[in-house]
Amino acid sequence: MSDSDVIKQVLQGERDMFRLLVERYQHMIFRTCIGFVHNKEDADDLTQEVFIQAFQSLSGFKGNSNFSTWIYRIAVNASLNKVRRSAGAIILQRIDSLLGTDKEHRLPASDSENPEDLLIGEEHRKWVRSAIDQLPEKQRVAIVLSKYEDLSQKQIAEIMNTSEGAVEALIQRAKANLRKKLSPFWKKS
Amino acid sequence: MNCQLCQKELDAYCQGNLPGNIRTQVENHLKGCESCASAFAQTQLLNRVINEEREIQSNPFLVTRIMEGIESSSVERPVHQPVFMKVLRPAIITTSLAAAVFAGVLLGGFANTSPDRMPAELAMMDDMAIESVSMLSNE
Repeated sequence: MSDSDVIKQVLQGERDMFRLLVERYQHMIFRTCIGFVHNKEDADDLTQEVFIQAFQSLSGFKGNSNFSTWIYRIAVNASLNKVRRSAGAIILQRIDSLLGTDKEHRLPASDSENPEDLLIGEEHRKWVRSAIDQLPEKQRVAIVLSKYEDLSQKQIAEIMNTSEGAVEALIQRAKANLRKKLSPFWKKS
Repeated sequence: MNCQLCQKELDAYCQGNLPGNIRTQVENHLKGCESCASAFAQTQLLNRVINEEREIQSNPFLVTRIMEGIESSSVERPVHQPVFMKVLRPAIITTSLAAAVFAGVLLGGFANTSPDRMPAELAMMDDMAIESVSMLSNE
């Protein structure tokens, strides 16, 4: 049964049919959310919030885009709202960084010539997540949809309501920014 | 190959998506360029952390939780409602409330008739009007 058929039935009062859409899209919405919050519990809560919001706004879905594009937009907006709410923590982190107290968190220097051999420590994870979190919003959305969801630039452009060229530029700038943010913690001994 | 081109291809290189000749060019460049080798290591680290997060599974009961959330949220069914129903419904409720208040005031008015307005023959039967309780208690 196609998404539009399911939506029609839900709108006619078959509320339980919405379960089909939840089962179909829960994994991709969860992955998108985890790209923003990096935490299973928060991603679970956000996924729930996204589907409830989608259900409540279903009558406003005009079918001009795919249901997946529409629900991705809801997921991105909900995730951005969530991270904005916790922006205070990031500001504190930046103050910490400006004061130079972040030196103690430098990544351990690489002993190996082959980066494949490196084990990912908790510090590595922390700094990669922090680097993603510090990206400007549009770059962050583009990189999350690209890296966590493997979406094409065309799909990302539809979700972000922009051109493919703009998405390509956003992704390139995001990658350059991520490298810049990670490079101070990646000095060879 | 220059640094800009090499760094643009790093993601595809990490994922093994580069054709043979470009792959060789990237590998040769990485051997001689410390800056790009560092960028390669960072790209690998980034991909590993992201892949770890992608592997995380959601709560196995998430679908049930979502459906319960939908049921328990006091939302109206997203069924199409005609516009006049959206307007008519609050109008009917308001009118009913106004009618109830008016009826209450009207009934209250009837009940609140003072003894002065009582017909004389009824007033004679009203013991309380003839002799108050306070007078009886003084005897």
